[in-house]
Amino acid sequence: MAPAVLLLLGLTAYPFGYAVYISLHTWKVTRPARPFIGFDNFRDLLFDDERFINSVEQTLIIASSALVLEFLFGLVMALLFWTAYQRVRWVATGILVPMMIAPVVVGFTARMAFNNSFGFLNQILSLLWPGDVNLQWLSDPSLAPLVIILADAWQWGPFMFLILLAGLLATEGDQLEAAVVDGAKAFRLFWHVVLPAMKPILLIALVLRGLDLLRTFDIVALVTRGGPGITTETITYYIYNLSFKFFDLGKGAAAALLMLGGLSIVVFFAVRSVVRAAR
Amino acid sequence: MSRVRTRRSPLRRAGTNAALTAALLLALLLALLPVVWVVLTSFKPEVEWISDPPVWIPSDWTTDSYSQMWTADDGAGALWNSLIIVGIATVAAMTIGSLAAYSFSRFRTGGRHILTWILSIKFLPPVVFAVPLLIMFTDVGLYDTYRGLILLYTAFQLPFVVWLMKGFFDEIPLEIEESARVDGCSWFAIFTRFALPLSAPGLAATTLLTFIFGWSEYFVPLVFASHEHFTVPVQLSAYFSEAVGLEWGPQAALSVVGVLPVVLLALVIQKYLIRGMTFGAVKG
Repeated sequence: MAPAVLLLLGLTAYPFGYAVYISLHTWKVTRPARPFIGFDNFRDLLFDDERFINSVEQTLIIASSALVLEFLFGLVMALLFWTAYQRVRWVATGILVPMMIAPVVVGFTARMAFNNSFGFLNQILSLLWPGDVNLQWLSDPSLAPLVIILADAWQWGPFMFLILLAGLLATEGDQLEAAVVDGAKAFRLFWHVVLPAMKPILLIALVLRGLDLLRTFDIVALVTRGGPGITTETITYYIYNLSFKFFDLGKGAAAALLMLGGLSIVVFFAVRSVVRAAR
Repeated sequence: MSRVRTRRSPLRRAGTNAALTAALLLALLLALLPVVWVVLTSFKPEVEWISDPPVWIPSDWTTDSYSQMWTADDGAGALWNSLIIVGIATVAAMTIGSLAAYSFSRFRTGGRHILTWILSIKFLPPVVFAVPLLIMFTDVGLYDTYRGLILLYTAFQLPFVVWLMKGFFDEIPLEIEESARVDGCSWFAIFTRFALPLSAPGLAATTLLTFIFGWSEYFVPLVFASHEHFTVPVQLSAYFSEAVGLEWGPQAALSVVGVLPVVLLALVIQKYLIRGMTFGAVKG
């Protein structure tokens, strides 16, 4: 156990301390002088940096929309296949595929699929919709976030489906039958019997996916690079830009620590609930 | 449940079945169509990569994209880097991680807080640690080396291994180990002779999943490697930044060669996928 803890400590605790130190300075790769400025980087980000606020908003919008979409897809599918699962196992195998593809490839695929001239999405939509669909998915500021959401949902909707199905299959049959005999209608059955029984698994699914979504990076990097403008710039992507594109390490570290602070609160409660639910 | 089904008329049942099959096929189509597109694109001649309207079936099947990707763009090198880094890191993380997991499982070493802390690390975005680690790695000469990358991959995989393996060890009945203990076996001998073999399927599944997750890792090699040590995901993204224009064909080819085999690997351990992806929280 000792090696594991040492390795993790060395690669998290030390960098964390270092990040705090950097964040308290004006630290730019291009400038040799690194004066101490206290909390100015933090104040700057929170009160003077619309781009940071934008990235927080975009992250929350993208993460929550994708989470809801994936959850609804997963729930509907799981309820549909619940009773027929044994017969249609092979479908689950096919649906697994997107989940295991590297996010980078998902991003690359989305970039092709959503292209307005040679992408196949507009082509397929034109078949279903009257007229010629020519949506500028990647260059329209209101559509670009949707591309990220859809790409993520394509990859992780199946995860929600499988995990919720596992939850449904684990619910007790007896209780359900008793409720049916008592004449409970489908919706009440779902609301009062199925849902409570699934609660731990629902929680785990939402927490894991939610935490992953809050740090969305790979798909953004491959599909839009934060664009058009900064409409799809998530927090992690903005931090990456600050540090590795603008070389403003001080501000980058401050932004990273702010994110860490916000996330720690979420992670604390999330991990606790997952650990509890797992028992 | 049987009660519910028998009450339905056969006609209505056929209707539900048809609707079910339709929904099923639609979901399958949705999941696989983009993958099919990528595979087909990798065999298209250059003019059809970006033809408008899009062409699905290549008019002239060609493997040009593959040869360009493999030699000119050094896809072979990226594949080799991925194999070395992810392979060694997986073995290292499995070794350190299962030892730790065993001690957590049997002796509750360090209490629950360490365990929770280890899990939390998995949820922190790596971008938070990137700059300090980069400075640190540059100082000690680990930046852009196999050693450095393997170290990072190992560390980032550890929480996953610890949590998953702990779950598998928890499932082994204590009696076997206790009787071995009475017979005078050391804990380490019990670990290697009983605990590991008894959790063999779990061990195999965890190894494969660790490998697959490492294989998909993008951020770490993006920041900590230069061109010479690019892994497959960074190599894929590099196609966008190079000034040669967008090479859709070779990029698709690299996706097919570099990623699809891993997907097939995942299908082998399907049974453990949900368990793995929820850190053992859902036994599936």
